[in-house]
Amino acid sequence: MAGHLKTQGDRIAERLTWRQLIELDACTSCGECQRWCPVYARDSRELLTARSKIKFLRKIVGDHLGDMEQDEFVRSLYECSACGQCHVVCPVRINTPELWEQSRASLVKAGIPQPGGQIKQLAAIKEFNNSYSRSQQERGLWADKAWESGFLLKPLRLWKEHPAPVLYFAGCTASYDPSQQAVAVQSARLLQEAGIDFSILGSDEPCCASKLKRMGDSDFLREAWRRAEMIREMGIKKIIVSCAGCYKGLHSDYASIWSDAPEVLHLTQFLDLLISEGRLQLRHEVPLTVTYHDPCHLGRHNNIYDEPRRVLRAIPGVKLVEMPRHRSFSSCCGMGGGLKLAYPEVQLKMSAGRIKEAEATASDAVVTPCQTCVMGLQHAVDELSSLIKVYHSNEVLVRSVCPEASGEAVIKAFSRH
Amino acid sequence: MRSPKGYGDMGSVLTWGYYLVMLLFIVSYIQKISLLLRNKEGLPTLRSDITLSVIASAAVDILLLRRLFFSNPFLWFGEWLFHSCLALLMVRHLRFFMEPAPSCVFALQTPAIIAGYLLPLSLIYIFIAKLVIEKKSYIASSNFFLLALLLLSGISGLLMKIWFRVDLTGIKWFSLGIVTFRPVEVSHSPLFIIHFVLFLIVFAYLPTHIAAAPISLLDARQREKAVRSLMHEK
Repeated sequence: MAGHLKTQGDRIAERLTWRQLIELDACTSCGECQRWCPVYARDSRELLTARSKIKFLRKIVGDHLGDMEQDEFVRSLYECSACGQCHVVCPVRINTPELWEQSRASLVKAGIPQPGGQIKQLAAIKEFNNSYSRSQQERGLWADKAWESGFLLKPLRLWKEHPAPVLYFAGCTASYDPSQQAVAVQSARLLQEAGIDFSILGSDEPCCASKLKRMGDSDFLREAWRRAEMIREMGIKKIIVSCAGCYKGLHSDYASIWSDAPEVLHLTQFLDLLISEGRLQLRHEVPLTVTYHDPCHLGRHNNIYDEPRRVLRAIPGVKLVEMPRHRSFSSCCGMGGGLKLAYPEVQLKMSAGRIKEAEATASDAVVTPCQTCVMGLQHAVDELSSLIKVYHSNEVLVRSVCPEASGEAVIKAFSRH
Repeated sequence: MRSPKGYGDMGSVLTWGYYLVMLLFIVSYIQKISLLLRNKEGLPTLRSDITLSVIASAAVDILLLRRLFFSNPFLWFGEWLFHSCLALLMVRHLRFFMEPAPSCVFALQTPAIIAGYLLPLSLIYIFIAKLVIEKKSYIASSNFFLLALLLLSGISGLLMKIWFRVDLTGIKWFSLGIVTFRPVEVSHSPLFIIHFVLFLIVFAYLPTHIAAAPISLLDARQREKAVRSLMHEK
C-alpha cells in the first residue's frame, strides 16, 4: 500500500523478513525462554525474556509504542547477549538471535540508536578496522614479537609473500589485547608443531565486522562484502580462525555474501583433525581436572560441541567434567551481542553465575576455546576471588605439546617489548 | 428445521454469537495480513530447498512437540497429552456439524471418550507443573486465562458425558443449523450452553501460534538443511 503515512512500527516491520513477522505470531508465550534465559536467571524481570520482546515487537509492528514502553523494549533488546538459548528451547523454534539483531537494525533505521558503549565500538570498527581503535600496522606485531621471543619454530610468513594453502586468521582480540595475544602465538605454534604450511595476513588482516551485525549496524553487509571481496581476490581457500566471534562472522554471517566461499574452520576443529591423524604430538602429561564452557558462537550457533571436547580428552592427564548446563544448554557468560558494552554489570553477573557452576564441578579450571569468553569469565573470577583457573583451550594443549609457549611466558615476554 | 424442545431465543443468540466470533476471527486475520502487506513488497515465497524430509521432520516436531521434550520433559508430558486429546476431541466433534458424519469420526469413539477424561487431567497437570514446580512467574496471564477456559470447557463436556446427559440429537440439529445458516432452537441444557459459550470465548482468544507455529517449525528445518546454517541444537 503505497503512500500511507508510515508509523514507527511500519519502519521496523519493513526491515524484518516475512519469516520473522510470522515468527512473531508463532510465539506461544509458553515461558521456556524465561526458564532458561541466562540474563533472567540473574535478574528476574519478565521484560528480559524472549516472549516479552516478541510481545513488544508484535505491538510495535504497524503501530508505535508509548515512550515508556519504547524505553523498556529498547533496554530489553540490548540487555541480551543474543546467546541463542531461547532459540534452542523454543518449542516453535523462533530464530531469536537473528530476530534480535534484525530488530536492533530496524530500531536504528527508525531513529532509535544503540546504547552509547556500542556506538563507540561500532565507530571504532569502521574507522580503525578493529575494535581497539589501534592502527592496522600494530595488528601483526604479535607475530614478530613471538618469533623474537622464541615462541615459534620459524618466523610466520605473510600471505602476500607466501600464499600458503592455509590462512591463520587471528582476529582483533588476539592481535591487540595484551592479555589474549598468547592465543594467537599458541595457535601459530600449534599449527607449526603439526607441520602445517600456513601464512597470516599481518597488517592486512581486517576486522571480520561481525560485531556490526551483532549490534544492528546497517553497514554490516557493505563492510562484510568488502572484506569477502578482498579475501576472494587474494585467492584464499582455507581459513583457520581461533576466535569464536570471527568464526561465526566468516563462516555464518558471510554465508550469503561469499561469491566463492573458502573453507572456514575453527582452530579446535582443525586441531581435532590433526590430533586424530597423529600429526600433532601430545608429549607431556597435564594433570588437570577441567570443565568445558561452550562459547555460544561455536556451540548453539554453529554446532561445534564435540571437537573441542575431543581435543581436551586427547591430552594425557586431562580429566573433563561437565557442568550441569553444557552443550546447547550451556549458560552464556554474557560477552556476546554487545551486552558488556551496554550493560557491563549484567555481563558480570552472568559470568559470575557461570563461574559458580564451574566451581561446583570441583574442577581445577574452566576451559573454553574463545578468548572473549576467557576475558569475561576471568573478570568474574577476579571479582569473586575464586580459586578456579580460566584457560583458553590452547593453554592446556601447549602444556602438553610445547610447555615453553605458556600464556604466562608469552605475556611476560611481550611486556618487555 | 426445529429440535423437539429447547430455548428458541437462546438458539438464535448462540448462533449469531458463533457467526460474530467467526467474523471477528476472519476480519482480524485479514487486518493482520493487510498490515504486513503494506510493509512488504510482495508475498512470502517458499524456499526452493524444501524437501519431503524437511516436511517430515517439521511434522514430527509439530506432532511430538519435540523441542519441549528436550528442554522440559516434565511439562512436555502434560502438553503433549493435552494437545493430542484436544486434537482428537475436535475431530470427534465434527460429527455434530456433518450429516452424514465420515466413518473415521465414528471410528474414533473409544479413543475420544478416553481423551475426554484425559484432557482436564492434562490441563490440571500443566497448571501444577507451571504454577507449583517452576515457582517463578513462568505462566503468562494470557496462557493462564486460555488454560482456565479450556479446563472449564473440558469439564463441562465431561459432565455432559457422565452425569448430565444431554439430547445429542437436539445438539446435532442446532449445530447443523449453524453450518447451514438456518438457526434452530438450542437443546434444553444449561450445561451445553455453558460449554458452547466457553468454546466461543476460546475461539475468540485463539492463539495466533496455531497458524504461525507450523510455518516457523518448517522454516527452522529448512534452515538446518542449508549449507551454512545458523543455530543448531544437539
